[in-house]
Amino acid sequence: MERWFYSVELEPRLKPRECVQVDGRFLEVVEVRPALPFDLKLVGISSTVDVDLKERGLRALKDELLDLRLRVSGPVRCTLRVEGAAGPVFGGWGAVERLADEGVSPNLLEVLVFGEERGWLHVRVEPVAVPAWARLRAEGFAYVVREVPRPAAWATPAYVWRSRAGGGT
Amino acid sequence: MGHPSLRVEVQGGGRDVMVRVSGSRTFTAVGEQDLLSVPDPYVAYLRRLRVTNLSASAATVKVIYYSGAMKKEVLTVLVPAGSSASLREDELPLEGCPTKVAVSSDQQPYAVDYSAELE
Repeated sequence: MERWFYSVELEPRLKPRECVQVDGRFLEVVEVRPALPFDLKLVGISSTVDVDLKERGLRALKDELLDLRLRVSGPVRCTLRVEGAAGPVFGGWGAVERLADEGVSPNLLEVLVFGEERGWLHVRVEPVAVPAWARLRAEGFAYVVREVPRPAAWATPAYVWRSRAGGGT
Repeated sequence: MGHPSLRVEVQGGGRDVMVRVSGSRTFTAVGEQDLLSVPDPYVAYLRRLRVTNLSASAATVKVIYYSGAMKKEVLTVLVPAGSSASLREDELPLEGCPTKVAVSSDQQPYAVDYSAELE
């Protein structure tokens, strides 16, 4: 199993029957498929706007792990916040918040969304010029997963928990 | 307002489809007029613009971008009587327009030819 690392190419990080540790749980990938593309356009922004992307349709089904890359467009500065990211082995950035604008490459804005309660995204949009607009796009893969006992090897997002005692790859 | 012409090309594939829209319109009224409505998932970037002043007086033509219901003048072009002004990509606004592109002029009639990319 390859180590988890940033890559430019968009390809599934996990294959069926591989395992990943998320939120302290071991999950085996049952199926890999492209995630439904997400595209949100906000217009007429004159002041800071808070948007819960879960309410706008960026959500995972139960027993589904989304691996998404975000792309920001528009004259705005965004603060992306991973909600429900409690625990040392889940999150997406090692910190819970990250600033982003349209100059940030999507491969640096990669997040995991697990089920309905872990990792959903909230974004605060601040206009750089008024009136501003923002476009948020997400694409990636959806892993259908099932919880399993501690496997012999598993993947852990390196940017979340680099120093870890015990096994894993 | 004259009869508009419109040409649409689609490039790319998958989720990165880019649509190039070229059009031509003649306006016979002063004040603000709609030039291009941007479909919801897209953002328009003007790549070419030519304004032809068909009146007997110099015209001041403004390009207006709408973001929702809010508007912003992004460009002003002075066009002598009976002549035209052509603007290329590096002379046009870099920013995109998410909702609607409009033009306004203090003289009429005038014609606007444009080419835009919808991303």
